[in-house]
Amino acid sequence: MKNTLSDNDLQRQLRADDKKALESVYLSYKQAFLNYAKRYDIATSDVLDIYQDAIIAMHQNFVTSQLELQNSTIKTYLFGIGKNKIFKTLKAQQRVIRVDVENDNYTEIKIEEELPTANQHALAKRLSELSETCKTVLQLFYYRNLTIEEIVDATHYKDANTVRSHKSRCLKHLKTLFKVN
Amino acid sequence: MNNETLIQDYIANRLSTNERAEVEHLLETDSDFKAEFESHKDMAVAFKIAEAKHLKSHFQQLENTLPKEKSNFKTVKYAALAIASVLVIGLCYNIFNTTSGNDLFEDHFEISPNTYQPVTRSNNSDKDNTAFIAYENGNYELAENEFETLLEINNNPNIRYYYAASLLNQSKYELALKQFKILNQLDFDYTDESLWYTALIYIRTEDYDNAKAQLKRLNSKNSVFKTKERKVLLEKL
Repeated sequence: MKNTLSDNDLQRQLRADDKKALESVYLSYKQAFLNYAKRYDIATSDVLDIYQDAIIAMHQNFVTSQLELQNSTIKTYLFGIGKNKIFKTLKAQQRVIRVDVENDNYTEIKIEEELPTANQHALAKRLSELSETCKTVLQLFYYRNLTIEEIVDATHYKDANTVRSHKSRCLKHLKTLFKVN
Repeated sequence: MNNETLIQDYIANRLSTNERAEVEHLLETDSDFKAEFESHKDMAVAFKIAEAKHLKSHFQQLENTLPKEKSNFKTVKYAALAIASVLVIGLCYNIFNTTSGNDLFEDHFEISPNTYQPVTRSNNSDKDNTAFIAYENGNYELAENEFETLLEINNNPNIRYYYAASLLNQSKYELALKQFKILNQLDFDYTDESLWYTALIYIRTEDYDNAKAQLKRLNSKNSVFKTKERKVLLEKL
């Protein structure tokens, strides 16, 4: 790869929810993944869809769990998730899975995914009705899992108490939105 | 540490093993804590869903902006020339070198693997497994007889499929075709495979119209079985 950034640097950027870094990861490995998937009996349009879902699952794991890959690279991790998703798709289409594919260096990685509840889906829809400032503070806290102090550093709030009170007002507002609809 | 911080640290994977155990213990014993945990998690998951949706549409848009193929006028012109010459060469090739149906059949025929009832050490004593053991061992004559017996008891399309495959593997094409024709009227686990082998048998006897009809039926089902081979064959027929 002609990345000027090391894998560790990239991982750090992904943990910080850096969308530019994510896009460069997406573009760097796309062709390799499409080629890799050719060994499986699966339509190209499905493969691109799987690749996007794998990228998203990987990225969210970096962001929400502050993942640090110890003995692996972004590529190996991504392809492991992708391979698992390919098998899932093949299984859903009731295709035969040929397990013993030669020259396959990737181990399947299953990302724990409980299916979201109806309540969580409904809540996700309501998020778009929040003001930008509310959305930002809640997202930093609930999605990126930043501490109150880290939020102070990352934003223009003057101190921790302001963040706390703003966050709780936004949460209250969201709950009202949720009840009304 | 207040509950909210503890929950956030748990979700963000920032706790030690002992602290994690403590959270899990609280979840089992303290219903207020559990409720707080659940509502925190609902928020986290809701953001994950919204964010995933946002990223997905971002990547889809990105795909639309990526250059598909270089398509300035010069390359289009060269491409047209290239296509024309391929057509001319292809035409000559077809006139002087027509591949026989039998060759095409041989190129594409592969024995259908037993995926219905894999033979394992634990089940190889089952009575109705004799047929599949014979099939896996390549003893298609015995498999044919065993599958025939099984079909008398139970008209299972999957069994009929392997009966047909046993016939086909012994080059009993006409008999196999008869079975596949019965199967092609049904919707079962191996419909795609059945249509594919039917097409191959027709190709063997150079009945290309019927072969194409089977392949097209597979296309219309949006089947992903042998997609590439089907495309290649349809172009050749």
